[in-house]
Formats: sequence, structure tokens, C-alpha cells
Amino acid sequence: MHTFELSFAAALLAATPLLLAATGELFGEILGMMNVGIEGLMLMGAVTGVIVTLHTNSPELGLLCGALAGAAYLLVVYGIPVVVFMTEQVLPGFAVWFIGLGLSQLLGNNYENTSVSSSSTVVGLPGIDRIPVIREMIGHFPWPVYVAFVLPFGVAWLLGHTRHGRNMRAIGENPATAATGAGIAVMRWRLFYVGVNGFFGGFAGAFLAVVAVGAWGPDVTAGRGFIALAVVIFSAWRARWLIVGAAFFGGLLILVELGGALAWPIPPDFLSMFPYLGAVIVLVIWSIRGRRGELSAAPTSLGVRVMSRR
Amino acid sequence: MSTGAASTAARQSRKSWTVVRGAPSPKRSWAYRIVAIFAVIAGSALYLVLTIHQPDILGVVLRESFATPASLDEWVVLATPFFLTALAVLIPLRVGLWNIGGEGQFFAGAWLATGFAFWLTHLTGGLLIPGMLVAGALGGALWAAIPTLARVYLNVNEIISTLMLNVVMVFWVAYWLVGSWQYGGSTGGTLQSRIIPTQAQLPLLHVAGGLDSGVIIALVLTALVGLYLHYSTFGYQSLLVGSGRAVALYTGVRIRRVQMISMLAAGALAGVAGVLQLTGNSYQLTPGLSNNTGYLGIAVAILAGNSIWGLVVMSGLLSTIMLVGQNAQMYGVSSDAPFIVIGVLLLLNALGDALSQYRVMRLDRRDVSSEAEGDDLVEAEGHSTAGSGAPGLEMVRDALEAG
Repeated sequence: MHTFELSFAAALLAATPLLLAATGELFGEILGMMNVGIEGLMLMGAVTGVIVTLHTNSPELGLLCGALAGAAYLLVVYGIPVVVFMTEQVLPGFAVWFIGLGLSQLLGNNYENTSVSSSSTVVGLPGIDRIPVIREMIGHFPWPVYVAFVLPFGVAWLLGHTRHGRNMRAIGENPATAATGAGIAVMRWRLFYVGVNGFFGGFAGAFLAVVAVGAWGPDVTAGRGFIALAVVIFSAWRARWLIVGAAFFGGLLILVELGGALAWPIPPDFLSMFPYLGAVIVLVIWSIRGRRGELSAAPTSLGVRVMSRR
Repeated sequence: MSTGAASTAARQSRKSWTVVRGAPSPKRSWAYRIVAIFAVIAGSALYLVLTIHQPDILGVVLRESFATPASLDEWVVLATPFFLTALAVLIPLRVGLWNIGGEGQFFAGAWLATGFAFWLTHLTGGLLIPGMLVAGALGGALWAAIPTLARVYLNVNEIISTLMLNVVMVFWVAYWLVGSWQYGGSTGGTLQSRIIPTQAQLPLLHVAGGLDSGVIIALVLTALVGLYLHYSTFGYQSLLVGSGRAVALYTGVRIRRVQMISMLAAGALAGVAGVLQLTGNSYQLTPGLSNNTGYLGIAVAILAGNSIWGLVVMSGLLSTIMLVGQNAQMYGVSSDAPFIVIGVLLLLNALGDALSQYRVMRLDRRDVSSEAEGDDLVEAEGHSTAGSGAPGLEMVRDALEAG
């Protein structure tokens, strides 16, 4: 019947948490902070979102609280050690993952498999409601889907066309010059964007659990945090390309689910591998281009320990 | 006289307690680490008391974890893979590389060893297990070779590439578990392989508790690696490479070669860990074979702080945490609770390492103010040896590579 239209809609729905989390991670990475624990961050957002939604019957409030919980969680576990105490970034990243994995299960223990209603978030796009095929494809979605797909354009504009965005890039490329030359308060900027990263990561998790899945379960993210990390690399740190990466990998998630239904010659395990393999291939390609004298795609100070006073 | 006394009094009053930043101190770092470990143990004990309300059940959990004949065996079995997966992180860290890929290399080793056992079952019993160990080491090393070559020759960030390749390998293993290797033939429902032949299973040291002889292999390998790193030229060279590109270039160490060997050895050791888990106590390949030991090895290696003795002790500590977690799970404690403990431990350890650079000293105020002026707003350090050399040394490097 409408297999194509429905799969397309399902792919966009699957791409949304990837896109939200990847946008958050992009904010952090542009300022030189790599968080490998997005998975744990999303889990914290997911469990908070579901708990708040179940208690208040308001998915909007659940999504907001999930996002805020993500911001607070990332600031405490990642932001303060990395930015204020100037530790290196891999271990706090792993701490974000491990603590998120354990703590979310602990908090969500009593809410497991209780379904959440989020039908109130679904919005119809006014003009598109009347066009037959497009209507099924993109007409009726929960509002965060539209937000997620518009957001990267805003981020691209912020990074490319505003003084604020240039300052962000300056911190990521060369924090020492950003501070001494441009007088940016590097520590405060970095802390703020750890919070932003956490906000979108938590929002992504809350969206996944409250809207896309409709229930909390242990490890509900099932590796999507790592795909989000792969999406950022796949997009080579360009905001608009996040949409391409997330849509592509979201589509792959759906293809894996459809699996045998389409009778594809490629085993589903190989499709599942692709986001991660694709990220490595893109890294290699960009490195080869870098050796030919072109600018590196990654922010220069990514993963580097930065000392700053204010 | 009176003016002199006044000036000394003024000088004394100018002295004040100040925080001074200097080089990181391993001694202070260890002090913080030990405080962190005790804090975490106290925290988890408190958590257990609060979660398991009845004191008698708490006693049962602790007795099951520490005091039954089987508990010691379980503890050793849990610690066995940690020795090797932690070495797989510790060796590359010495040369300034992060090997996050222990999990993938573990599965690469286990996968190749499973294949070896299925394809060459007819090999005489004495040769099958050594063959599997070699196959596992080869599998792990080959899987580590991809990110290593990319890092050494193309400067691809090894943290991201090894992390991504872990997941790829897990799906690769899952692919093989659907089909001819599958338990109960290709129609079986669960994702696990057939049981490996009995001559491919390691003999048990202690049948009652399920203690297998894998721990001997793991400890011997750990001791050999420790001795080699301590006494060999290579061990010294790896320390030079880890101290920074400039040092290595000045002393004429071939950086790429040392980094390659370190990463491949790390992959091989993680691969052997996979084989030991397979032949020692699982006897079949499953996607849950590693039980996250590849990732937990990172925690062990970091807590060990570049010391083989530390590595052995910390393997025991993590094994204890996992064991108590397992036993407490039957009484309503969440199965992922140990991850919180380990995450907090990692975090406190990172904080302690950062704090170990600071000392509280009683200083003259003039010195303090001049120090503050000298300490500029921002400085950046590389996480690895890349790019930390002086500009002139780049020329030396180019000359060396050309010649």
C-alpha cells in the first residue's frame, strides 16, 4: 500500500534523535570538546522524560525536563571536570556513558514498560495536509521532528554568519589566541556549550523514549548515542550535513528493522555496521585531503586539554 | 631596630596560603586515587545498605561475594580478561595513543579462534588450544592494525576510529552467529554459536567453582609484558615516544615503528583475552561474550597509572565490584549499578590527576602576584605526541623521514 511513504516517515522519526544528539555534540566539538558518552547522556534524558511525562501527563514538560536533566547531568559529569578542572576528555566521556547507563536504569526501575502517550505533540503542517503523497511522508509529525530538521540550518547560520559563531570556532581552533587575542572568556563559553550539548542530548533521549518508543526500557537508546557521534564525524563538522548523515543513518535503522520484509541481498548486520564504518571511512578521507594541504575538517583543538582562567 | 622589626612583621603578614600549579605529581596522583577508591567503596556500601533493607540479606550478598569456596574462583574468573584488556590500553598509552578498541579486538580474537576451532577440529588436542591462542592474537592485532595504520600514516584520530570499529566487530560477530555457526543449526533462534569441541576447552583448575586455567595464561602474559616493558630497549623507547615528539626525535627513536608495535601488541593481547573467555568458561561465541571487559579494561588501565602491579591490583578491584554487583542483582539491585561505581571512580580519578598538579603552599604575596601574571589565560596541551614538537624539529623529522 503505502510502504514507501510509511517507511520514509519512519526513517525521519528514527533520524530525529540522532539529529538532535548530533547537533548537541557538534556544539561541543566546535569548541574542542569531544564527548564519547552521548549514549549515557541520552539515557538520562530518556528516563527523566518518561518519569516526568508519566507524572504530569504532559509530554512537552517531559521533553523539556529531559533536556534540562541532560544539561545538568553533562555539566556535572563532563563540564566541570573537563572545563574547570582541565582533565583530559576521554575518561569523563566514559564516565558520562557508564554513570548514565547505571543511573538511568536505577531511576527507571519502577517505570519500566509503562507506555506513555504523546499524541498531543503531533502537529500537521498546514499547507502540506492537502497534497496526497507528501502528506503521508512529512505531513504529520510530533513537533520535535520539525525542530530537529530546521535546527541545523540555524546552527549553520550561527557558525558561519555571526560574530558569536566566529568566536565559537576561534575557541575550537585555537583557544590560546581566542583568549589572548580576541579576549574571549574561554572557560565560560566552553561551560555554556557543554550545557547546550547536554540539553540537546537529553532532548534527543527524551524524544526517543517519550515519543518514538513511547516507554522507558533499560538501554532504550541501543547504541544510538554512538551513531550520533558517527553522524558528527560523517558530516565533517558541517551543521547542514548533519541532516544528511542523520537521515541516512536513520534510514539504515529502519532498513534493519524491515529486514526480511524487503528481502534485501545485504544481511541486516552489515547495514547496522555501516554508520560506524562510514564514520571511519570519512575520517580517513578527510585526513588524506588534509595531507594534500587542504584544511582539516575537525576543530584543531578537538580533544586537547585547554587551560583557562576565566 | 624598631623599623627592622616592623618590616619583618610586614613581610610575615604578606605570606599567605596559595594554590600553586606545577608539574603533575605521580605521588599526589596516587594519594588522590586511593582516596577516590575508598570514597567509592564507602559510597557503594552505603548504597547497598540503603537498597537491601534487611541486614541478613546484605550478609548473604557479602558472604556469596567473599566467603564461599566458589566466590574466590568467580572473582579470579572475572578478573582474568581484565589483565589483558587493561594491558591493551596501558601499552598504547605509554606511546601517547588511546586504544579504545579493546572490545572490538577482544571479539576479533574470539571470532578467529572460534573459526579455527570449527575448521580445524581434527587437529590433535595438544595443538588446538595453542593454535586458537595464536589465531586470537592474530585476529586482535589485525583488527587493531586498521586504526593504527590510519593513525600513524594519516593522522586519523584513533580514539574515534577504535570506538567505531568496536561496534563494527560486534555486528560482524552477530552476522556469523546467524547461519552455519549457530547453536542448533541455522534454524536456532538465539544468537549464540555451537559449543566448541571439548579438546578446545581449557582444563579446569578447580572444578567446583568453575576456575579455568586461563588465569595462568593471563598472569604469565602480564608478567612477561611487564618485564619486557621494564627491561627492554623497546620499553624505554616507548617511554621516550610517550614523553613527546621532540624527545623521541632528539633521541632518534623511530616513532611510527614504536607506535605500530605498541598498538598491534595491544590488539593481540585483547584478542587473547577473547580466546581465554571463549575456551575458559563460555565455550561458545555470543555477542555478550565480552561482558564489556574491553571497555572496563580502560578503567583498569587508567586506575593502574602505568604500573603493572597497579594493573593487577585494579583488575582485582574491578572484579570485586562486578562480583558484588552480580550477587546483589538477585536481591533487587539494578544489574548496571556496578557501572555507576566504575564511572564515578573514573571521574574521581580524572579529577585527582588534574588536582595533582596543584599544591597548597605558603608563599610571599609578591611571588604569588608575579606567578599569576606569568600564568596566561589559556594554554593548550596535546593529548598525544602529535604536534607537540618545536617548529624546528619538524624539519628534523622531515629529514629523518627522507633519509
